[in-house]
Formats: sequence, structure tokens, C-alpha cells
Amino acid sequence: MNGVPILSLVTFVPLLGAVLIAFIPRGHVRLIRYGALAASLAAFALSLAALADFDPGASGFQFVEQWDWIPAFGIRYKLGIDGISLALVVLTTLLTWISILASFGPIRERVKEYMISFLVLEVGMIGVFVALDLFLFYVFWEIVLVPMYLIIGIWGGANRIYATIKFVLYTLVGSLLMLVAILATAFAWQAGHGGDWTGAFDYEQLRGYAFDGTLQTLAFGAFFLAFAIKVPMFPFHTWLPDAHVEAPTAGSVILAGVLLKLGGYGFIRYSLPLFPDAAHAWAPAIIVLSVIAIVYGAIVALVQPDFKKLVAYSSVSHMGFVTLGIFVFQPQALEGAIVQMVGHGLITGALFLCVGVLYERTHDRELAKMGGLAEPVPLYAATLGFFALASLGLPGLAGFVGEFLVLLGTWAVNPPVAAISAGVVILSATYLLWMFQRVAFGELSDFLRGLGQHLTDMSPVELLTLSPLVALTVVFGLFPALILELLHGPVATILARTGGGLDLLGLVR
Amino acid sequence: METLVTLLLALPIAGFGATALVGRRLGRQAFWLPVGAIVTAWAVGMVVAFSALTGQPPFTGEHGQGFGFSLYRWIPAGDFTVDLGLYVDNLTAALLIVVCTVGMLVHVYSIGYMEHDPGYWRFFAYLNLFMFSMLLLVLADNFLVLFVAWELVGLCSYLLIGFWYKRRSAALAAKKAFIVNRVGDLGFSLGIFAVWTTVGTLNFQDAFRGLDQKIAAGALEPWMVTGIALLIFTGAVGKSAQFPLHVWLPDAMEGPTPVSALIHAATMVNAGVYMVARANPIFAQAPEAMVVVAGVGIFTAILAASIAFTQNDIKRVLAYSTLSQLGYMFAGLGVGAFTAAIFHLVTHGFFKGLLFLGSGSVIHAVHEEQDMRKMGGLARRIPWTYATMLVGSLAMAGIPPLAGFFSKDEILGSAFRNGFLVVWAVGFVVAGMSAFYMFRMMGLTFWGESRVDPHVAAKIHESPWSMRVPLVLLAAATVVIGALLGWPLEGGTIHAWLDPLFEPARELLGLEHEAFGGLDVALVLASVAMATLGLAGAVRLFGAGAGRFRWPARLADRDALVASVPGARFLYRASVNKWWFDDLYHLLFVVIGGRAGAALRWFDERIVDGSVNGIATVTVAAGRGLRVIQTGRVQNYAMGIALGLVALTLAYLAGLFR
Amino acid sequence: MSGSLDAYLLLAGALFSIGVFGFLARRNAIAMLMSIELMLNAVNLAIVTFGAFVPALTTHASVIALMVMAVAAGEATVGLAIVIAIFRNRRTPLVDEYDAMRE
Repeated sequence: MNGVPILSLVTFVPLLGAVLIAFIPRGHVRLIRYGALAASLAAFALSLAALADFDPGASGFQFVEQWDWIPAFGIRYKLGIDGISLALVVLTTLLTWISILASFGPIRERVKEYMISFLVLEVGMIGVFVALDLFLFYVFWEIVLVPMYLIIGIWGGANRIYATIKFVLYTLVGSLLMLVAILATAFAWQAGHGGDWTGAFDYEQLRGYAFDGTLQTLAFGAFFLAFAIKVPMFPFHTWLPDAHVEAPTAGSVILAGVLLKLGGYGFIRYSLPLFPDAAHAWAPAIIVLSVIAIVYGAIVALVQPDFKKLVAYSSVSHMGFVTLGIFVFQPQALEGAIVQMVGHGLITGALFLCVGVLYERTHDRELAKMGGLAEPVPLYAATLGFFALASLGLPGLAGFVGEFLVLLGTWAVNPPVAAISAGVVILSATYLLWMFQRVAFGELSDFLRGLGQHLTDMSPVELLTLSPLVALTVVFGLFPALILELLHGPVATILARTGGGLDLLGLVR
Repeated sequence: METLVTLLLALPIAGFGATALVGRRLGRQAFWLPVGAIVTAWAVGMVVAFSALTGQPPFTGEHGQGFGFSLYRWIPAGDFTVDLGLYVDNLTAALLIVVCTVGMLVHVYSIGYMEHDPGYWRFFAYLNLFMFSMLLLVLADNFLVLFVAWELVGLCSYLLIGFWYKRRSAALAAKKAFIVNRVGDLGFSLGIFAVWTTVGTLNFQDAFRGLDQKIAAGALEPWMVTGIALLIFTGAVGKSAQFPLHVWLPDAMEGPTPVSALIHAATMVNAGVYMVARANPIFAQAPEAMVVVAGVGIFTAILAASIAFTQNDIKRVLAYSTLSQLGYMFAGLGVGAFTAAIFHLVTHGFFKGLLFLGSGSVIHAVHEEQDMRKMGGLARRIPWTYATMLVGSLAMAGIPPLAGFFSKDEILGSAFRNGFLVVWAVGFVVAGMSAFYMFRMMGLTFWGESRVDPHVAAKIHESPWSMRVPLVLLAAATVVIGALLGWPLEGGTIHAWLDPLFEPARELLGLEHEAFGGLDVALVLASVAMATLGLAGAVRLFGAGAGRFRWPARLADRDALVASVPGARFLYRASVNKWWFDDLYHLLFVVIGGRAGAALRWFDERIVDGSVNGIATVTVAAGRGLRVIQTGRVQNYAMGIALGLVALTLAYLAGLFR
Repeated sequence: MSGSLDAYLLLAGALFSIGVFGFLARRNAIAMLMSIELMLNAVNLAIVTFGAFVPALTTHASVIALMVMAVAAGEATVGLAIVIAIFRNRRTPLVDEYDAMRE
């Protein structure tokens, strides 16, 4: 595929779709829906083509494209991927078409605007993963905000305005500081190169540059805030439950499935290699926050009466494993963190779809009103049960491998931290099985009985959205090598740059 | 051989897949595929097991070295790699015999037992999935695959306990089983981490060798080995329902009876015993951990036996007896009698499977009634069930020459010989207790006056042949297997099979093979006497003529009588209330844990989110304050501009800018 | 060249002040637009004056003055259009009724 700008294609095919949809009259709802689906499927196919052509053995970035953009400041349009970004790009394109398909039923108002928002959102998300220029990265990073703001704010639930403004302002606070930090690093680079701006925003160049201690500390802090809010880490997580509860189903899927990964990806791609010394200095604090998030998210999930909030808090807990895995600077843990991101994207995305299926029929998410669904809607109950089990880390499914590797790597660095985090498997089993029991087991609740004929099992479209996720959850559980093979090279590169051997409380072997 | 072993795993999982996909449409015929798969798997399993036990190629290694191979590389993550590897040696073979045979018979039995259940196909699908997981568990060649299977059997147990999900108690019991098991699994997984960080591999043989080398080289503190052993043992405590994680097993009786027989008596709960036996090189290096194993085991044995005394649910009596017998096995492992423990595992698998299936037959006969207070006098009505259960109970009581006698006495004898006198003494008492509560159960169920509901009494019927045949076969096995494997007493066939495997561990522990002598004969006679005593007591109290012995005929009166004795009263209440463990855990985890959760939620919404909203509120308030000057009238703004201009001009003239 | 620079600038300043006063004091939108024109013309006068008195600025001043006239014409057109649009909406030419910018 020499010469084909595959990454630009993947990134901008959805945009092309969005532009074309803009010209379709708003009455042609079916055409708009299928057009959006086609655009997202095209992006998915292109990302698979990139995957097929990707050489996991090669070091460095592949499919690199670069053109000057703002030459005066050395800002370039530069794209490229390694195994980490590739895995997340494919996850993004997959979840996007699933989300668009899942929106066919629930979204009936302003379909055109909705689909355009979704496709633009996809552009931003893919762009973040493929950008290799810090300025370009920032642009994509902010593009993501706008459509998500609209999706929650227009097609959301009752309290959507509050939720969406909170989401945007919260994430904006972090990302604006990140912009300052990006500029600071660029100025430092320029000052260090005799006033030459060339390469001042180029990730590959900056990665090899040793910034001085103070700048590292401050810039790391700014990047950290942006990424930590996105992940979200305790105590910056409170926008998440609100956003999730108010967002439409597909919005929640993307939010949990991809948007949270932007934060984790940012840590891996930028925070560690650019500011290795600061990363080491900050690591103990971040590990403590991660452990708090893991435990805290699980406990709070335990007492949530709202189905969606429960899943949202479980995300906080699961993403805690990601940040933990990143900041112990240990190969197994870092690979585990990335696998965990992919697994969490699939599983939690699917759980939100399951919530959506139920909400479509009941227009309610209160767990106390549910019960006994296993009898009237066995297929739904089985699917929900499957993903609940996957989410609690049942071995053989995708959720297990990441969590296990993170904990294994953490144990090698600091056993007590690993032990505390591992203890959460008990809590996660508790809240997920309790949720499943309240939804599926027992006699059919009066509330659900009242729905009568409306309580139908999953429709073909819903089945179509969930079945690829079921299949992939099994496949990645049984053959995690499919992802892991992509990660060895980049992880080694990043750790070689960052340096391993975190000495926490002096407990290293 | 690789093909056979792979086939052994492939058959049940294929049966599961096929049944899950098309079972619903097959209705009453849904059993053909899964039962067929398991019967075939049984045949394959027997071939594999006996090739291993008789040393056919490729099982020709020294010291019980088995045959292993890898299906594919499961997790490659840098210098951490795990294969989906399988391994068969004599220990695996012994387990295969139990798992395949009992599994096969339970499948056949379920054809009849579950006949009227709407979830017929679902039941068989789960059972097949369980068989796959259990076979994977015994075939695993490394800790992680073992752990995977460990969790998968837990999942199947969850699904099958909660099989009748409409019943709230079943749903709760299923959840409880899974969560309590997870507590054990937590320890197990930490043990796995520790093994990997210490020796850099998870493969059993490599890890054991690596550990031995490290210890020999002095690179490992003794406490670390003990720590690893204890962490792994935690997993066993959870899965095999030992104190303090024993609470889930009695509740698990909410599942259909064939499940109780297969999973919660004959196979899954033995996984802990198997795992400790498999990891014997680690435990042999950590004598302190061995003491803990023995202590936990024997304590569970007497605790469970004391609770079994007063239970009125027939399946719960059997559940507590299972706990108690598992306790024996751990005691055996702890005192270094690995072979005896596995021997007991095998015999117990058969006779406890038999007892559970028999209890299922009883329950079936009296129309899903499990309360023994509403049974009685059933011996004549269901003679097949009665006869086979009598065999099982005698075996469990340890009456020669039935299965339980051989294995139980080996454990007790080894405990005595290896110097664990307390273990022996407690085990000796428990032997009598076991005989007593088993025959209390027999008495309440089969003897005396019928207390069956008159409406039901007329319709009591013996079970169909598909259920009777497994009972008879298991009874036959119970009669012969003890003598077959355990005779002569100084070293039966089972020793020839397994002793080479455990020889290095025994050497490390400094245990010698002593000649079978007068002491052993005395011990055997003593425990048989103890069992007979317990049995006789039960027969006297609960037998046909119990009324003659100033022992009230009505059950409620008996309870009152026991409660009236001051010392016995506390013990009686403790037994009835299961020593209040459920209440304690409820208080600790549900009440206190729930409060903590609610408090954190409050903290999250008020403090964490409150501060975020607080910032927003302050900002909004500031904006509201400044808004006063925004009149929206162009001229006001223009006036501002003009005044500003004037001010700037004045400032310029005043020389402020110079 | 008759007269002095000061006289012209004084005139321009006076015109400008009248314009400012008119803009701030009149409530009628049309009158305010006219006041803006007055201010622009005052500035233009000053520019042309400088062009006449400072030889180096002669050409520049003419160009700038023309520029300002063009802008003034544009401003008048657009401004008047806006005022008419608002008038149609609000049925009043009085600016203190126009407080939509408040919200």
C-alpha cells in the first residue's frame, strides 16, 4: 500500500461522509442513517486494511505522512501509528459503526445533525490516535469535545444541559493547560536549538529531547491534568457519571469505549516519553490515586441505584487499572494497561448498549424496578450476563488478560499495591452479579409486568450491534496475543525512554 | 495421546456449544448431544487415565513424571509467557477417573431427574460447560490455566446453583458462592503473582524446579515460600469451602440435586485438594504452611460435623458432611499423607456422589420436599434408593470393607504416625460424629413412622431407571473401590500409582515409610469402633424403635429435650445456627459494608462533586455580580468608551505616560 | 494658503465633539447614525488638513480620506439596514428600548 495515505483516509473518510450527509435533505432519514453507517463502515474497513498491512515487528511509526502546515513555527501535518495507536484506532472505528447502528432506533429527532456529529466525533478520536505533531494532536483533541457536547446536550436525558456543560468545561480546563504546556515545550525546544522552530512540535523529535527539570514538572502536571480528567482519575471523575447518565446510549458507548482511552493513550504516548523524570517523580502519587480510583469506583458502584451510574463508576474502577499499569513502568503492566483499555472499550461499551436496550423498552434505569428478565427476554439476559461476567474479569474473556497483566506487573514492583488493587475483584464480582441478579433473576417485577407487550427480546439490529462485541470479547480473551503482538515494540520503546524500575517505598526486589 | 487429551476437552465444550445453539428447539430430546458427548469423553478419559496409570507410552517418565504438551501460546507479554498447556500424570489420572465417571453418571441421572424442567437444555449445556472446565482444571500444566479453569468451574457453579433463578434464595446462593470463591481466588491470584516474580515461570514442573533451586541456592527467604504456599492455599480454602470460607457450600444446595452431587460433592470442591497435592513441592518446602493446612482442615472437619448434627434439610446434612470430609482431606495433605488424601478424594467422590444422587431420588419421590421432618419410613416405598443410600452411608461412616473405611483410616493413621496427635484425636472424634449424623439422616428419612404429607404419601414412587442405574453403579463402585485401591492396608494400588509422585515431598518433610504394624491395626480397630459407636447411637435414637428408649417420638419434643439440658443447649443452638457464621458475615459485609458504601457515595456526591459544582457556583455568582453594568444599551457602552477616551487623554496630558 | 492649521483642527475637534455628544445624547437611532457620520467627517477634515499642511503627507492623506469615505458609506448603508431591521421588529427608533444585548 505504498503511497496511499491510509491514515489520512481513515481519519477523514468520516468527515467526507459528514459533508455528504449535510447535503441530504433532512426528510430522507433512512438515507442519512445508512449514509452515516456506510461512512463509518468505510473507516472501519480502512482501519482493518491498515491493520492487515501493519508490520508488528518493525520499530518506530508506520504509514507516516507529513506535510508542512505552519512552517513558521515548525508545525506539521504529521500522522503515523505504532501498535498502540493501531489497536485503539481499530477499536474506535469498530465502536463508531456499532454506535451509529445502535442509534437507528433510539434517535428519531434531528437525525441529520446527530449523524454528522457522530462522524465528526470519529474524525477527532482517530486524529488523536494518529497525530504525531503536538499541535495537530491538540487540534484533534479539542475537535472531540464539540460533537460530544452536542450529542449529550441535544439528544440527552432530562438533565442534559447541566451534564454536557460540566463535561465540556471540566475537560476544557485540563486541555487548555495542556495547550500551554505544548507551547512551553515548543519554546523550550526552539530556545535549545538556537531559535530554530523546526521540529518544535514534532513528537518524534521532542521524544528524544531532554527538557529541564522544572519545565518537565510543570508540563507534566498540565498534561496530567488533561489526561487525568479524561480517564477519569479520582478525584476528577465526577463529570463522568453525569455525562453517562444523560448521554444517549450511543454517546455513552463512545464515551466509555473511546473517549476515556484518549486519556490513557495520552499518558502512554506523551506524558511518559516526553517527561520521563517528572513521570518518575509523580508516579507514586499517581499510583496512589489509581488505587483509590480502583477501590473507590468499585465501592461507589456497589451502592448505585441507577443502572447506568453503576456501569459508569465501574469504568472509574477499571480505568484505575489502566493508570496503575502505566505508572509502575513495568513491561507486563504497561502492555496489560493497553489490553485493558481495549477490553474495557469492548465490554463497557457493550454494557452501555445493554442498558440502552433495556431503556428503550422501559424508559427507566432504576435497578430496583427491574427483576426477572431472564424468563421473558432470555437472549437479552444472557447477553447482559455475559458482559457482566466479562466485566468482572472472568478468565477466558477480554477483561481478564489486561487486569491480570497489570496486577502481575504491579506485584513485581510493589506487592502491597497489587494486593489492594486485586482485592477489588471481589467488589466487582459483587456489584456486577448483584446488578445482574436484580435485573435478570427472581420473579418478573410489577413494573416490568406492566409493560406487557412492550417487553420484547432483542431486535435484529440490537443483536447485530452486540454480537461483534460478544465475539471479540471471547476472541481477545482466548487469543490476547492478537493485541499483545502489536505492543511489544512500542512498549519497549517507551519504557526504554522512560526507564523502568520504579522504586516505591523501597520495596523493589 | 495429544489427540486424545485434546478430544477430552473438545467433546464437552462442543456439547456445550451445540446444546446452547440448538438445544432450545430440541425440547425433551435435548439430552442426546450433551450426554453423548460426556459418555464419549468418559471413554476417552478412561483410556487416558489407564494409559498413564499403567505406564504406557508416552507415560514412561521417572518419578511419576507425566506427559505434557502445549496447545498454543496464550499470553505472550515480554518475558511473561503462558501457554495453554496440558499435562497428564498419575495424579491427573486419578482425578480423571472420578471426574469422568461421576460426571458421566450424573449426566445420565439428570435425563430422568430434570425431565419436567422447562430449562432442560440449559441444564445440560451448563453441565457440559462444567465438565469442560473441570477437565481443564485437572489437565492444566501451569498455574494460570489452572486459575482460568478454577474461575470457570466457579462460573458453572454460579450458573447451576442459580439454575432456578426465579427463586430468590437460589439467586442469592449463587451470588454468594461466586463472591466467597472470589475471596479465595484473590489469594490464589496473588500466589500466582508471587510464583512468577520469584521463579519467572508459571509452568508447574519448571516452577517447582526453579523454586527448589532458588531455595538450595539460598536466594529465597523461608517466609517467602511459606507466604506463597499460604496464598495458594487461600484459593483452595475458597474452592473447597474450608473454614472460614465454608459458608457458601451449604447454600449451594439451592441448585438441582445432580449439580450438588457432581459439583458440590464429587468434583469441583475437590479442586482445592487437588491443587495443594499438585503444588506439593511448594508445600513441602514450607512446613509451617503444612501445619496451617492440617489445622484448617481438621477444624473444618469438626466444625461442619457439629453443624450437620442438627440440620433438617437432607441436602444440607450432606453438604456439611462434604465440608467435613474435605476437611479430612486437607488434614491428610497437611500431615504429609498426600496419597491418602487423594485416595479419600477418589472414594469420597464416589460415595458422596452416590449419597447426593440418592437424596435426589428421595426428593423426587416425595415431590421436591427436602425437609427430613416431613419424611420417614421411606425404606419400603423406595427400596432401590434406600439400599444404595445405605451403602453410601455405611461407606461414609467408615465401616469396612466399604470405600470410606480405607481412605479415612489411612489419613488418621498417617496423622498419628507423623506426629500430628491433635489432628488424629479430632479426626477420631469426627469419625464417630460422621457415623452418627449420617445415620440420623438415614433414620429420619427411611426409618420410623412416615411423616410425609398425606397428599404426597399416596404418590410416592421409585425413580425411573435412568436414575436408578447410576445409583446402582455408584453403589457398586463404592463397595469395591476401597478394597481395589486400598488393599492391602500397608500399601494398596493407589500407593503404587501416586507414591512416586509425592516421594520428593515426603523426603523433604522427613517422613519415612514405616512398616505396617500392630500400631496401625490398633488405630484401625479404634476408629472402626468409634464409627460403630456413632452409628449405633444414631440407630438407637432415630431407628425404627426409637420410642422405646425414652426418646420422644415427635421431633419437636426431641429438640425441646435437648434444649433443656444446660450444657447441651448452647451447643445445640450453635449447631442449629451454624455457629453464627452467616450472621457474622452478614453483619460485617452486608451491613457494615453497605454503610461504608453509602458513606462513600455521599462523599462522592457532596464532597468531590460538590467542590466541582462549588467552583462553578462561584464563577456563576461572580458573573451575576458583574452583570449589573451590562445594561445592553449601546449608548451606555459608548459613554464608557468616551469617558475612557477622556480619561486617557487627561492621563496623557498629565504626563502619566512619559 | 490662508488660515492656520489650528483653525482647521479646532473646527474638526468641534465637529467631532458635536458628533460624540449627538451619539451619546440622542435616543433616535437615525440621529445616532448621523452623529457617527459627523465624527467621521471631522476626522476626515483633520486628515485632509494635515495633508495640506504637511507636504510629505499630501498623497497619503488623500488616500486615507477616500478610504474613510468609503468606510463611512459602507457603515451608513449597513447601519441603516440594521436600524430598519430593528425598527421593523421593535416598532421604535429609540435605542434605549433596544436592550437585547443584555441577555
